[in-house]
Amino acid sequence: MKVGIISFAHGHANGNARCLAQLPDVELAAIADCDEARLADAVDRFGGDAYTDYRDLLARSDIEAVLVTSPNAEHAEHVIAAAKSKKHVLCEKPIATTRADGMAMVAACREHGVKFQTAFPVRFSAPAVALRRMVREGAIGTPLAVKATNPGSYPGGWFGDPELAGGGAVMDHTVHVADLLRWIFEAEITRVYAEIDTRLHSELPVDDVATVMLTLSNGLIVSLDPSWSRPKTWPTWGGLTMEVIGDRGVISMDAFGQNLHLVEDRGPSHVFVPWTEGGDLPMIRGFVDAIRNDTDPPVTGEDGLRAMEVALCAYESAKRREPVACPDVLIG
Amino acid sequence: MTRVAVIGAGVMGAVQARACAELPDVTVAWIADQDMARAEAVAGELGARATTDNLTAITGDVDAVIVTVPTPFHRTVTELAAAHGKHVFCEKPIARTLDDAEAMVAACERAGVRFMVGHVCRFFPEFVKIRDVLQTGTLGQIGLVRASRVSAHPPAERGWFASLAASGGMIVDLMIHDFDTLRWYFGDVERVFAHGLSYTPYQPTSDYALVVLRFANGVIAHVEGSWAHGSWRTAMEIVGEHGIVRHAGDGTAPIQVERPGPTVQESVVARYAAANESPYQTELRHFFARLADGTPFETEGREGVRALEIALAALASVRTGRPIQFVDGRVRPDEIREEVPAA
Repeated sequence: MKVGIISFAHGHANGNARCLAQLPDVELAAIADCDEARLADAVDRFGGDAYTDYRDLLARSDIEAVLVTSPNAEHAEHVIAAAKSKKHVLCEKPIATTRADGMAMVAACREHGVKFQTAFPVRFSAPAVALRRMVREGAIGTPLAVKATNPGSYPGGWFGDPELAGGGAVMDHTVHVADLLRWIFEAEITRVYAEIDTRLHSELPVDDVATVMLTLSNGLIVSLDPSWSRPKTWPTWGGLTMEVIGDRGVISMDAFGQNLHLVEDRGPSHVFVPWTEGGDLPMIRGFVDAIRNDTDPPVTGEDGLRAMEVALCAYESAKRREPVACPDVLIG
Repeated sequence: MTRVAVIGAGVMGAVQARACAELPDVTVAWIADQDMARAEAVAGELGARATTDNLTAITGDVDAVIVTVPTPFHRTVTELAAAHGKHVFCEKPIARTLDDAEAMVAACERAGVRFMVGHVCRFFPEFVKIRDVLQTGTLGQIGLVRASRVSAHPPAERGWFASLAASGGMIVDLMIHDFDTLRWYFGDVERVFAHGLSYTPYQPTSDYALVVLRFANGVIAHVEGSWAHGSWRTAMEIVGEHGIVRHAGDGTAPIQVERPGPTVQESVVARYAAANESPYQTELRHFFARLADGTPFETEGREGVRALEIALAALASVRTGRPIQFVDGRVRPDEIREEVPAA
């Protein structure tokens, strides 16, 4: 199977390319990037043909699928063009920056009969899979509340550009937990309240600190920290934790907790080195398998749309300083 | 030598009475409790006299009264002590209702007696040290705070905790610690929003809440409180422009005791903090020192009122699903009015 990558603007393109190389009978055949230096660097490291215009990549009939890792606001153009070219799509999260774009992407992929998967790798990580299994087996009785965190360090570059990113930390880091909640508890997020501000990187035109409060359709109450609150010198990029409170106990899950501590006098003084596989490889394997077996992808475009709606509702709530109905407040 | 009466010989009464007795210039003269056996047990240990009558203890040649009765009785005992010219140290929360709390402050002012509320976290070395770090300013502008305080629910024999009307539940009894500490760090609160189980069948055995405080200075603080966990721990993380200060509760116990059981599952690991002086003793040392030198307490009665306002606002937000807006750092009483009156 020949696969292309559209844009290395998002750093996850690197991990995705490494995963493709590990899958049997899958070839990274082409890379498109409008930034020539970034394109040359990516092709140099991962191989494949180079295109500065993504439309030339999509014109190749031998390429079956593309991974889209462009800036958030460009996802819609790239995904819809890929669908029209009959390429299956794995799109980086958040899938878009507006609800209209997200819906158009889902519709285009359906219309042209291509698979559309949203890149939510945490669903595939062993701790998240175990948490879901334990909750569903009733290990802590009836789940009542969830305390979740998904903090990170400010990624820099276009992530600080509201036009390209569609927001700041809330846009970047609300969607993973929103998706995990929907997947673990099989419920929709119906109500959102958020306090959002820019306080740690005062030069940024986007938000960097927030607390997002969610209510699920089954009554579960949730808080989420999506902040870019990890300093540059923190030993790792950030993390994702969920603590589920039930009437018969509490389960704590740290999706990135299995690390070595590496301390080097000549390097950054202290870094975490994960020693588990993580979710990226099984996520991309799941995408490839869905194409090969012609099944629904393990995470759909609709899943990506629902998660993005939660981030958009958080911004709306912070603006109004009151809880909002999700996704109703975004419609008309 | 300062002589005190301790009113209420429950868990906190015993803690405070013992902490008083450890201080060199303080004598515990009286222990009062409705349950004579309980009063006598603590009194016997400390060489004090025991009574079931609060007035006997309060008027029994003492200078100050330590109020450690259940929350809904704080007002009656405080007013009685003030009426007899005794200084008051009252366990937190100051009261269950704002009316009671304001009345207690007013009664002490009228009587010209001093009034301190026992917000003991301001005497815990880890929270004092966090404040020291904040005051150096090295973290730059503060953006985000995450505080956590979790424990198992109080034992059934302390029945009044189970009544939301009597104790206010976990939010008023437990989370008020962090509300006070964060006010101490960051000043006035502007808005409170909360999710919680206070009004569900899971209160009190799994009482749990997630609260967001927005401070007037812009800081966003997330506070978790729980009676649904299996063990006791606190944590706090404060993020500024230039870094993080963080107290990770479960990683700091310097003493750990392991007791192997017949099976691995029955083995027990217990962790203990260690300090040269308990924070309760530090707190009371502060009370008596400030009584003697006439300077204000770290936690004057009015500070207790402000912390209670935040707790009652969180409870109101859980009840209504709405954010509670503060005006000039104060809650509007009609915003927190409860349909079922507090006991």
